[in-house]
Amino acid sequence: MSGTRIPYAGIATRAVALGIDAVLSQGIFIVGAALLGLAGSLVGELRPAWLVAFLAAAGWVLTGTTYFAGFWAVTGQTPGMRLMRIRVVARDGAPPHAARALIRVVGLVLAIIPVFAGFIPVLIDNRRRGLPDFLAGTVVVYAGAELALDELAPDESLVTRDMSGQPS
Amino acid sequence: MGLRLGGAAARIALRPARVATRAPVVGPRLRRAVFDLRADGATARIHGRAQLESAVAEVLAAPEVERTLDRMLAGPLTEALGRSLGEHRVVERLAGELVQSGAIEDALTAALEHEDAQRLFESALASPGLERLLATAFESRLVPELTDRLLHSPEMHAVLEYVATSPEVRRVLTEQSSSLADEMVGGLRTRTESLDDAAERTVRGWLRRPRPAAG
Repeated sequence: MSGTRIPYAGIATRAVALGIDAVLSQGIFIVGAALLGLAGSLVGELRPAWLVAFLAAAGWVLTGTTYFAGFWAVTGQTPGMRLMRIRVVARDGAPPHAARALIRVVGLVLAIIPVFAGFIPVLIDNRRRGLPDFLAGTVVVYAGAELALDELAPDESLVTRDMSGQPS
Repeated sequence: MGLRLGGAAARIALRPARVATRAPVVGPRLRRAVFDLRADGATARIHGRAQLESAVAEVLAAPEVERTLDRMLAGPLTEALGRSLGEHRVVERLAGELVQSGAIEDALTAALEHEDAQRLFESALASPGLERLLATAFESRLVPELTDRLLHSPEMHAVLEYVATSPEVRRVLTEQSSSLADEMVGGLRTRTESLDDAAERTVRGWLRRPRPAAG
């Protein structure tokens, strides 16, 4: 067992951060929807029902996407990640730009749909990357960790090298 | 002035006697006689004092004195004495003098530091009587009334207002709250990081892949 701290954030820390972010984004959506519903009730009831459902779903997707992609692109940290002191970085060591952040949101949804199976690679990848990271070319690191840029470069395969860069 | 004149006259009158004591034949006899006379005088003085003391003690122990004192205290003298003490502020002056001199502080300190006081205090605390007394006091209807009056008093409102608006108190409360939150989040982070490693180690163990050694 090595005493050196691994700079990449593991599955438990990321899960807690994701849970906090899910609660926050849902809270924002619920409060926003309630305010819009209150404002709408003053004008009149919205019909038909499918339109209400569609608007609600669109609002939910928009809120979630804006929340995650916005925070990742601007600071590299969502509030949950900030609380858990982890951040997402691109290959240049900076927060991912907007397009990469949007791809990461898509990857997040794809990782969640099969009962979070998209996060299983975090347990076996040398850089603890999940499906969103593979798609967007990012890694999630502990906020205080020192990380050389060459460590962020894409490697050849999922498990061909260990953390020290030596073939395994 | 009179005393001086009297002393000078006595010295002049005793001068022949002094001359006589220095005379060669009668001098030593006279000096011995003077010495004996002085010793007899001292003995008589001690005797006299002892007799006077026993006489005073006898007088004070007499039932007549006791009855007299009793009549005196039962009479208007006690009230007059009390009035006089009050008018002349004797108690306050005495207390002020004692406080200024530090005698009260010394006495209190000595009393508190005395081991008997410590024992007395401990036995008082351990006594069931005190417990009963306190229980009665707390169960008394006066307690809620007093608490109610205290809570509605302007002084309590002033204290609460001071506490609520005091920047120092608010700073301390903020520091306490933030440090508590920091501690909680720090503990959570430490645990999740341990879980990160444990989960990875377990899965890598199943796959027979070594755990990454370093970042």
